[in-house]
Amino acid sequence: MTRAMSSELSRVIPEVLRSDETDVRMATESHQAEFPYGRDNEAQVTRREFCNFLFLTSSALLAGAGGFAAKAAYDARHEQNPGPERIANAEAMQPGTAMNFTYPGEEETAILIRAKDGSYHAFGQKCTHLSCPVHYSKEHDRLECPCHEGGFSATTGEVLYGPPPRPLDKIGIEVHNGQVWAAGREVRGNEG
Amino acid sequence: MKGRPGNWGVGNEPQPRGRTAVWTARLAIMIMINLAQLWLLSAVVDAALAREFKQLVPLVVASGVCWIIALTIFLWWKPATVPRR
Repeated sequence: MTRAMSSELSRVIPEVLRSDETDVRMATESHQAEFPYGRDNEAQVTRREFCNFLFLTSSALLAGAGGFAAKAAYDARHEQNPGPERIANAEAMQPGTAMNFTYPGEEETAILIRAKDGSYHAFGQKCTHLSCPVHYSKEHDRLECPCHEGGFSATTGEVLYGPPPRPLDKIGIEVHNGQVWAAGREVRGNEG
Repeated sequence: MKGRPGNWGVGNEPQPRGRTAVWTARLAIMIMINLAQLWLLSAVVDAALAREFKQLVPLVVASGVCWIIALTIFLWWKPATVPRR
């Protein structure tokens, strides 16, 4: 039964496909007379066209490399030390917990950790490998990147394991009258 | 359809074997250059995120050299027309 069905299907499917193509060709017959352009010709790419495409790709890759390098260098030169900002609701945090906030701008996400001894530590949330957001693992008391399994110390931001090449950006924390303030963001290199 | 006689379009004419070899070589070298530049771009991204700024200039220069080679291939490394005897 199954074999009979499969043989019937293998006979019918090509017929249906062929009839579709035939219908289209019949419907456009008058146009094809005026514009004799075959479907097979459309699929062909000449060597010249492919060569042009490869050269354009080469140009785009050079522009991408140059642009990315220029932007990275420009951003590094124009880094400014931001002023202090209060972190809302940080006082209510229990030891061994973390919360997200933004500092210095709305686009710069950061993570504030209250250690088990009650001290505060804050870091930029972007992993230094490929900028995925890190999260706090209470179980292991460390910051973990879910993308490529990088790990950072929850107290210093140093790399513990994984592919990140440098520590997380460190955000200075000051406590005034029970209020927690973010004061300055330090971008650290490979010097540790 | 491939090999259909009498239906060769412009730029798609049958060519002598020597010219075909040159064209194939051009394309092969261009593809290799593209791959090298792709690797260089990923190295630039890695170096920039790691703030290894000293590595950026050599990487971009290497990509530029690759592009110049691609430019010379694109402009000048063309199969020469051999006059018929």
